[in-house]
Amino acid sequence: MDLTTLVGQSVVNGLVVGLLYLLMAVGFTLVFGVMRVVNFAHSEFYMLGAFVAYYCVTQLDLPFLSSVAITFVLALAFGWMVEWLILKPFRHDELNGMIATIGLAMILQNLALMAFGPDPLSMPSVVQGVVHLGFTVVPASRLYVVAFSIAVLALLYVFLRYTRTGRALRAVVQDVEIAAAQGICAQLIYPLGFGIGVGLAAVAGALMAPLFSVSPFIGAGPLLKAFIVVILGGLGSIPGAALASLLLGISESLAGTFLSTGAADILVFAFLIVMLVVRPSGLLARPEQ
Amino acid sequence: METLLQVDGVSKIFGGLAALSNVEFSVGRGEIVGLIGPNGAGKTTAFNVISGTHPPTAGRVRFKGVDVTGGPPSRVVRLGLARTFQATSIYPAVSVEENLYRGALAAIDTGLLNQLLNGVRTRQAVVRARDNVENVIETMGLAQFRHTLAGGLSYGYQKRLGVAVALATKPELLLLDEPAAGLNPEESAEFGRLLRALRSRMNLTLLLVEHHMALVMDLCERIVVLVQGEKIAEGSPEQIREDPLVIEAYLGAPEYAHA
Amino acid sequence: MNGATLWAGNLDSVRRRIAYLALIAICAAPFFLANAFYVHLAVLICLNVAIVGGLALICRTGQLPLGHGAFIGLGAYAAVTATMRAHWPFWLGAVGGTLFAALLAALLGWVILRLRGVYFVLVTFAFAELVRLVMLDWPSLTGGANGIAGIPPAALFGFEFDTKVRFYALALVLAVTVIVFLHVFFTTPTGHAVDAVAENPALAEASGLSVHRIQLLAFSIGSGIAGLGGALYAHYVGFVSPESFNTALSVAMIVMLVIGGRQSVWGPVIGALVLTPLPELFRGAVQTQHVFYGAALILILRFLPGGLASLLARRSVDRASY
Repeated sequence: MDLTTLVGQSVVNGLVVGLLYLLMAVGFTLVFGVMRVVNFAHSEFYMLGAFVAYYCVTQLDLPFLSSVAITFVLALAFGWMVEWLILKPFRHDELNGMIATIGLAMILQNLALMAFGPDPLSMPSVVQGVVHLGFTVVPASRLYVVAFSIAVLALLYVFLRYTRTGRALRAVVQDVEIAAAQGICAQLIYPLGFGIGVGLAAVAGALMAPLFSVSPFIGAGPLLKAFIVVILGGLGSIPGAALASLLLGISESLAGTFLSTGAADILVFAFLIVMLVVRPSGLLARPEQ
Repeated sequence: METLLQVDGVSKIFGGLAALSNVEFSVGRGEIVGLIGPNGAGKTTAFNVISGTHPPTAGRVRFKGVDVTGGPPSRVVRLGLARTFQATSIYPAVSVEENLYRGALAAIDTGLLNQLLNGVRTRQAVVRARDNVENVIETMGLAQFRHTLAGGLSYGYQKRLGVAVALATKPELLLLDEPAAGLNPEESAEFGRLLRALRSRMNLTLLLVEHHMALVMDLCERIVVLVQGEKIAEGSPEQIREDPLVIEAYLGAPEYAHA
Repeated sequence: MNGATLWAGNLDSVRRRIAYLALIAICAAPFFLANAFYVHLAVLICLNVAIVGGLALICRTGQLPLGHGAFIGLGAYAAVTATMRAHWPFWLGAVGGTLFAALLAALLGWVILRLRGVYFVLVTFAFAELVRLVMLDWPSLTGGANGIAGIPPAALFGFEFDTKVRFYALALVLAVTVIVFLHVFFTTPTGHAVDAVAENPALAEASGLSVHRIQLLAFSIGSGIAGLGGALYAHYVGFVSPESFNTALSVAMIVMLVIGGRQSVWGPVIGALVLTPLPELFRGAVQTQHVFYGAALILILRFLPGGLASLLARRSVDRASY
């Protein structure tokens, strides 16, 4: 395999992974922005999303796109309920809310283990074959994932920018007191924000299910990467997260291809620390004043 | 008169908006200086810059001749410059006595090992801190509330406690951010008497931000007027009261006419 | 009703004395037990008390470290490397492990404690993952995924702690030392400063206390204690591997602390006592156990945020004596 193909494939893989990180990070940032809570259970919603998609496709014989849509709706509803029933007392309580989501993560992961067992399941690919892209060859299924991810993000953008509810969400993220003064019903916004945030994580899980395997343990890796993306991009900045996740995905992929994975992880972390020293507010944010 | 605080050409820009523009004034030892201006004039921002909470975009702050621009706040406090906040600045979950003790802690600088072993130097420092706390309790009239949880005090006494905690740091210059907010005219007048007593009993210099014009005109020897981040006037209360620029920008409003 | 204690007078001191006697009896019991397994549990409880005590110190400054397990592991690996490769005596290896963990925490903390609390949690989580990956990826030093086996038992001046009962004595001394240290620490001026920083950091800073310095101190000492616990653990169990010190361990420590009580020196004791033996109760049903942990955590946070220890002392967080 010649170098250009290798690099090209690495870049595309990096793009795929980067989009995954972005979906996770955006949902995570949304939950934090609305509720001021670091959601440690975010990874478990990713994992549950993968399982729902798996069952839809393999047991219910539904087409992939519908499965992803169903996953989002179910995750949104489930997230809404969880926020309303469990997390409500911890809104705006950063520290205890964080610990509560740790508890929630433990519950969700172990319930999944009890229900599905630890063994990884594999889902059939969405589409077969390869695509020739310039000077490189890429599996079509990965391009599928790229297309879907971009579609989801575009929908999210439209929702946040142009719908009333979306703007209300953004207002609450900006300043909850002013939003309340403007009559935005915070009681609805909190569960909605949480539901959409974890819904995005579930969609990421569903999209990635055909590419990687499905098991109760798959959430841990994406969660860590979501954290790194959010730190690099600046907590609360979606454009920052976009830039950071793509950079992270591609550089990880390239480093993993040409160096060892261990070295790649160390490099990423070292870069993270340097960023925190030099630009603590994130890649795109203005320096702290 | 010795210059205690020197603010030189200080500007502070937040996201494109100039909260402060080239502000310059000084405070001499023993003075009571007022910083007034309409809402949004940048008074609290000025306090934040002076106390080191936020660095300025440009300019320098000198306290006792030392350049303290950029803080950190704990360093500025150790030099002798303390401040209060607009929101009540207390520790609500502990007693008044403990609140003041926490204010006095910074002066105890023995090493951790000495503290753990309860060495002589630590014991002496704790005694000095305890005496300081007693002094502040007496001066601020808080003896009856010594063991009360700070969160249980009335609003007026919480504000008083906030000032007391700042006093426990043994400052030479005290910045007071709207200390009379929420007080009725009678409470406000009493507070003014208290501040004057503080100045003489504790060798304090005071710089205060206030909207209570009666208190400001009565208490302050010199007044600096900020409007939209710029200093538009400086002088004695009489001069300020008659300054046309000030009247137009600030005092002209009916509610201040009686001051 | 002001902040004075509700337990006044002689009844209190009689109750106190009985409680302390009971505690001494509990601590002495493992020396007389025939069942080695219970002694083993007692050892684990003591090690957990110490490690969670270190965690408690960090949490008292208002931060939540999500990488405590990594510092346990760093102390363990450093101590083992010292005793097995450099042939240091055990006590020196343990000291080395402690200092190594504390130093790394100081370096990390110096960078990230200047940032908002949220970043501290995220970065400690990432740091713990990095440590685990480095441990996996450096077989020449750490034995990689296979870990290091055949670690010699702890020994002091020729006396080997090679039985469970003997090691229990050592672990008990550590646990008691850490708890006494915490108690004394919070009576010192620095201890008061820690509580001030946790309750109102802006006011603490404005009163001349350096929030950064205080949090850094607590983070370094607390992580050092974790390292010490790890060093002892390694020389008790005789084996370490990167998976022994993963995120699950960090989470388990947090669960113990929160359920035990974050504001009291007895919190780590109660948390370790209650939660260490639980895997035995749930024997075979590990997942059910963890669901229980998660639910208990949420319930405690919601209804008893001061943890089980807050049931003991019904006085408010008031320091009348200084």
